[in-house]
Amino acid sequence: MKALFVYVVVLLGFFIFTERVSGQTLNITGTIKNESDESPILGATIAIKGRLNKTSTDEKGLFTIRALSSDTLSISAIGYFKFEIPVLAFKSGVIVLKSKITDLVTVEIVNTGYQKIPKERSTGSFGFVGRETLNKTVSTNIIDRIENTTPGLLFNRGEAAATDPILIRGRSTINADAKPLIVLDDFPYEGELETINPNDIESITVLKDAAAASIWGARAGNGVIVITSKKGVSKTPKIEINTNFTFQSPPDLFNISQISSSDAIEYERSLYDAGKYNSAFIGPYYYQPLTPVIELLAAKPDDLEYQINKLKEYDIRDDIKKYLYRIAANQQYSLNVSGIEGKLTYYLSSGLDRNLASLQAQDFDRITLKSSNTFKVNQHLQLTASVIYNRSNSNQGANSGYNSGKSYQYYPYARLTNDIGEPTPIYFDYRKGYIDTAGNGRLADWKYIPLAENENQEHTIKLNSILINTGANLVLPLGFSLDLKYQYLNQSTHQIDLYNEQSYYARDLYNRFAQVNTTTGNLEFPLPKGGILDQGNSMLNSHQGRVQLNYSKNWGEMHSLNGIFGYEIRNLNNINSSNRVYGFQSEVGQATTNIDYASTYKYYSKETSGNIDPRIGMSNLTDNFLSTFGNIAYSYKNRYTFSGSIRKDEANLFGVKTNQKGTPLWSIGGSWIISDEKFFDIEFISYLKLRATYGVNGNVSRLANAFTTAIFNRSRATDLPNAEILSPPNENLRWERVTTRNFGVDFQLKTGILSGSFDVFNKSSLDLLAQAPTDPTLGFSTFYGNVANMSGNGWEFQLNSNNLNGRLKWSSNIIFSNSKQKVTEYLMPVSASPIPYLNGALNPIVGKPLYNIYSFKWKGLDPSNGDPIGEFNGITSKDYSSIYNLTKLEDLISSGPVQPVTFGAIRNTFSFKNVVLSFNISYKFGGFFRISSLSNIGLNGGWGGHGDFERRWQKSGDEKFTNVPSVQLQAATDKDAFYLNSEILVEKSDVIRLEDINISYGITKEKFKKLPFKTINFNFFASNIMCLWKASKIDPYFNNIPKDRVKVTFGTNFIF
Amino acid sequence: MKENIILLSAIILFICGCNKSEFLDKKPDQKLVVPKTLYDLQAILDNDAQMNGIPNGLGLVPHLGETGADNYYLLDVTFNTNITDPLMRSYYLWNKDVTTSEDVPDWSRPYLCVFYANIVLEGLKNIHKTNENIEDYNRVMGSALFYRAHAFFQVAQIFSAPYFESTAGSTLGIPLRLKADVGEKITRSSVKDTYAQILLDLKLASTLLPIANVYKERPSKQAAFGLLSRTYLSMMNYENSRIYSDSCLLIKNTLMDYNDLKQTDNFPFASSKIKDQEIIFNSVMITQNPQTPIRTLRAKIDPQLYNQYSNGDLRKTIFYRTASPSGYRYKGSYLGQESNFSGLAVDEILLMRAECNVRTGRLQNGLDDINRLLLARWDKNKKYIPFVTNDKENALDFILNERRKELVFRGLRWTDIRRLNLEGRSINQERNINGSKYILLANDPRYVYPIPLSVIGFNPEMPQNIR
Repeated sequence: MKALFVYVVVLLGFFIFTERVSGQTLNITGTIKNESDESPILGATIAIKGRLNKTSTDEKGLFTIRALSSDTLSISAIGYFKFEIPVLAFKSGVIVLKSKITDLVTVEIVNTGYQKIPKERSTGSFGFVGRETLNKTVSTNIIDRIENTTPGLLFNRGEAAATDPILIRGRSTINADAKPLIVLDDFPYEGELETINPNDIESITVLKDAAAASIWGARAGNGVIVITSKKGVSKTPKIEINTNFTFQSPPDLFNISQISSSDAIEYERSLYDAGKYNSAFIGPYYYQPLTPVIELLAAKPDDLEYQINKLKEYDIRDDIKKYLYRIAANQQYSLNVSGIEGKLTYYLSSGLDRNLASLQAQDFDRITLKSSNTFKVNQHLQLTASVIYNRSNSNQGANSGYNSGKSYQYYPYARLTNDIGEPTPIYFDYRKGYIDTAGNGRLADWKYIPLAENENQEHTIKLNSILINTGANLVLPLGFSLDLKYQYLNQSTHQIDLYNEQSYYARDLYNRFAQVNTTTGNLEFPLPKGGILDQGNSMLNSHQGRVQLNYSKNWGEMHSLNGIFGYEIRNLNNINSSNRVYGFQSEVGQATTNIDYASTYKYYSKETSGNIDPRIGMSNLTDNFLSTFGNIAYSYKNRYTFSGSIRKDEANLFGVKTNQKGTPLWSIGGSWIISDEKFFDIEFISYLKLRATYGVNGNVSRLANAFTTAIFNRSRATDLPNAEILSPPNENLRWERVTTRNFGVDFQLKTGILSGSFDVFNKSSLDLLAQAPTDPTLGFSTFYGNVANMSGNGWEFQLNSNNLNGRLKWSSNIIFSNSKQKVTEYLMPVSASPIPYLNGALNPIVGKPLYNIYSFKWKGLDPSNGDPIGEFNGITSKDYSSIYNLTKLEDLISSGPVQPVTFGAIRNTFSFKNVVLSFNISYKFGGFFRISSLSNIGLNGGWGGHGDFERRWQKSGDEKFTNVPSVQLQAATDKDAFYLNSEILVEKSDVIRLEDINISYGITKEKFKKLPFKTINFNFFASNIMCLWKASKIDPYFNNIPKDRVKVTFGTNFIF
Repeated sequence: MKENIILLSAIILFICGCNKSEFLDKKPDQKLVVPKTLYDLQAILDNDAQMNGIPNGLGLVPHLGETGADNYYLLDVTFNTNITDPLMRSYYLWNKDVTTSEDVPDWSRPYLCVFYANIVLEGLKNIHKTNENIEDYNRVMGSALFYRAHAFFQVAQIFSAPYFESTAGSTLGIPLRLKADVGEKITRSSVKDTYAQILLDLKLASTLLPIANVYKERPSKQAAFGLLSRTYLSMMNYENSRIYSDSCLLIKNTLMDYNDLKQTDNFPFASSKIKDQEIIFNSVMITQNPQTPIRTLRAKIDPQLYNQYSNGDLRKTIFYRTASPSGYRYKGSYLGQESNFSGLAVDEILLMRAECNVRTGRLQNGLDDINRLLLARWDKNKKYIPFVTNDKENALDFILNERRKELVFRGLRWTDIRRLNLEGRSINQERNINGSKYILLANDPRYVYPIPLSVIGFNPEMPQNIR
């Protein structure tokens, strides 16, 4: 098995021996390719056996070397078996190398978006996710597929996702965008990620440290994710068909803690008996909604108890599950054809996705088409062109599931249908008694029937996008080549929110604005009857162009120098507009135009008044960037590599002074392959490389502006155009800077059993944009400036091991990340009130992580009455008002960060014959979250409450078993707020999960000659499987929200 | 090969040939305007949120002018449960220490308005005045001056001592921000300079502004005259106050007949004609902080004040309603909302003319003015008996009392108390909370609030008001 498996394919008219020089010296040209998929191998070393001549391949796998006809070529590349061939036997131009570890590691060519470098020769910290790993998971969105595949990349889940969904090595900014830069086919991609068909993607490179990312300059501060799409690679046309069917049961609604219907009803009864509703039946607020139980108690029918007992049997979650959810089903089809035909390399693909979400009426359709071609005009010039077209349609429906979408939540015994299954109204906004009589029939029907809304509303987003890439590569003499690239993106979004005449929204607004004519007593309607149509259009256009000079030259085997230098221009324009029409008649497509937006009308049902909302919005944003960049790498003996990169950005977002004086962003790095040294004699290590880098990346923000700027709006009082001054001039505004130090080790054991890498890093973010106080006499009490700093550090490693390598193969892939950040400078004063620090909003505190959980000290429950006990100024206290409003920050408990500090995953892969099984276990530690509990105020509102009601303190002694305070008919806001923000409700979000299982079964034509295709693969994939362990009793991924169930996918992949 | 190089060079030249500075000067957001034209400058002044404090309670006029005054009181239960902010409690009880490190909107809101006005005045320097634009140019300049003076006047009522002719030159006034430069060193002027600047701005504004305005959020010549009258009144310069109130009323002097309003309405002035008939310039009091003691649901009307309205006086039912659990609360804001109207209106000007007429020896004119006002406030079903007297002091007392009754929660009472105490009317205030009594005697140094700490912090050498 370990024998070399090499074969040579003859390819006509491709790269051949170009010239014969005098005597026996030959100039040999050829291409080195990967055996498995015939992709070119970059960075393979071609040496003449017994002599010093050495060269390496470029990114097309191309090499040229001078040799004598008697020589033997020795070809080696990291991750491949070495191959030797006598020059005379080297008839064709292509040599195919066999990968050493077929299933685990393909050679990693990292793509920075500007150049492709073999990882071996890089100094920076890169994460590489190849096609095999990408194909292990199934998703509509490409970025979802790199979760748990590369160290340092964090996908926050649960409540932490609200802070930052994706981060590379932690957050390094306070107010600017913290998202990594996404690069698709060499240019920053500003479109929607959903427009990318994951089946078209070849690999993803994650640029983590300064040396890796700093070529992206002012936009690299958050790290970079470089997506590379597939290209044609094989001589014979290759046809690939993928189909995936994914199913998921409706989420578990009983994960939401809810007071039982009978408890809720009995509690309502006690509120009613205590006179809490006395004022509801008189006075100006008689229209305010009441639950059926209160209505019954007030009406006192003869069969009161019977009716109430009947209500106790219902649970709204049953109805929601039955009527609002379904089994989610996603279908994904893709077809691609690729190959090389003479001078043309082509890749054509189409994809179709159809997703039915588990919420009824929500679905998503997508069509993607892609054509990517490379045309080799002659030896020197190569042209590329690709077009990606995408069209998607997403229906949101009028279905918000468990959330009523109203000012009240569903009471626990609410029902969506009546006894005979007809949709039934729920009185969220007005009392039944009020709307049955209001207006004496002259108003529109005022009932809200949740289940009737779906057919009366339409919420769709239609998206069209086209991405065009063109490029030319010109080979120049003396090792130079020139690249010209241009990318155009046009993405248009059309959003429709239509509430037709029968929709509650339209009827309610119509009624609310009804005016009583004081002289005639008639009703007048400022709003026309009919539907309400909101439309939003957005158009994104981006042009990006690049001129790049490349240099690559080797001097024997001693020196090699690679460099790029270029100039880039980028223009991004995003135009949005939205409008609303009233009185829309969908049959004729007409709306009413003569609406009086200026007048203030008294609402029909209330004492307050308001205007008719014209809902017109417009925005037009432009980003212009000019950048100059360069990168150089020098290797000595292929053993020592030094790299440096520099980039200068000028943008219309910065002030003139920054553009003129701004210092460039830069990085330097070095690497040393110790294992190549003579003195290195650790027998079992075949490869050991040390890396060290240092550099500065930037981050930009729209928050601040260098000029005195104003923004135009319309005044409410006069409707005159009105300008708001946004900022005093700040000529010294500059981009944020992130300085990163990284030290890393890459290694491989001789037997190939274990390989991996280890990195430790330290980041400091300087000149972060933040608010700073200023003299309010100047007209502003705060201003945005480059005034804050943060720092962070961490370490990460990746281990790949081949545990078994017989008939049963077993390999493991372990990733581990640790990353901590804290604010080191922030000028805004600490608030005297603790409230800003409790609600999860961004409130930086020096010495703490940016998102940190604070809570009140908890001293248990009062044994005499079940009141919660806290602490104020160091003294045990029940002065809730003081505790909640006046506790000083230093007296709060700082539990820790919202985002996990340590995280990673372990993937095990087993293969036996044609079956491959893999499963991924992820882990996250070090984060905290706040669990929910019973709000007494909320409960007294009479519309249900938290399930902790059952666990409430009821009698002395209960305090030994529960922390849920006693419930009182007269509740106090501050007492509630104290309990809900106390340390007793903060828990660790540590979790270990079985993320996914993938089983695939493949058949190749070689084994089954009758097979009509080259290979066929059957896939079973399950994700979101289960939580193996969690620190809290609550799953932090689903904190009091419906819990997602296992998602299963059946996939097939045919290759012809 | 050659063709290739030519083609590529052409593309490179094209890219490099783009105009770099134009490309980098492109506005990142189309809505962002570097204000340059008269249109832009007018739009800055039309920002009614900053210049007039609209909408609801965002405000421009300090609430301290009512919070510290005597038109209302708080129940113990309100004080204990609703007013938990120690600063607001201190304001209510006239504590010596009412400093906070937080933003003090009563200071910062007017100074934001001043910054806007200064941006406009500096922008005007770059615009050439021509025959075509002179009308707009003058209106914009006059408006900016008016807004600045209006804001200075508000700050001066709270944070500096009242104007007293003999000491004005030596008592501390307010910082007079006359430039937009955010690097400016901030220092305090004298009371004399403060008022001189307000008068200077207003007098110039009155020559530039249009006589009246369709939009009551925009200043007019009439508003400038009205504010001049108010400024002179606060300086106890009654002759000038009379002259400007007279000029103001010559432009328009309609009063609203309160019989046209519905007394039972929650906000009787909502959707009424008050804006057309009485309001001269619209401005709103700063009551956005929900703990502001004078918010209508908290503040109970001083019973002594309430009892002074006779039964035929419509203001008794239009301004007030019963409150829970006891007492009366205010609902008479000319804005027809919870937030308080604190701008200029004909009733105030008429009251100033009445007072100044009497003070300057025109007794009958003064009585005519006050009777005209009261007639418009009287129930048409009940006969109004005009007020007559031959005694000047009697007339003055009556008018001053009517002034208090008419202008409740308009942000004027504090200024009036300070002025009237200076002439010896000895208005002593008293608060009772949780069994304790708090007293503010006439001419107490606590009639001047301290400069906010955030201002002192940036200007450590700035003298603080001693309380």
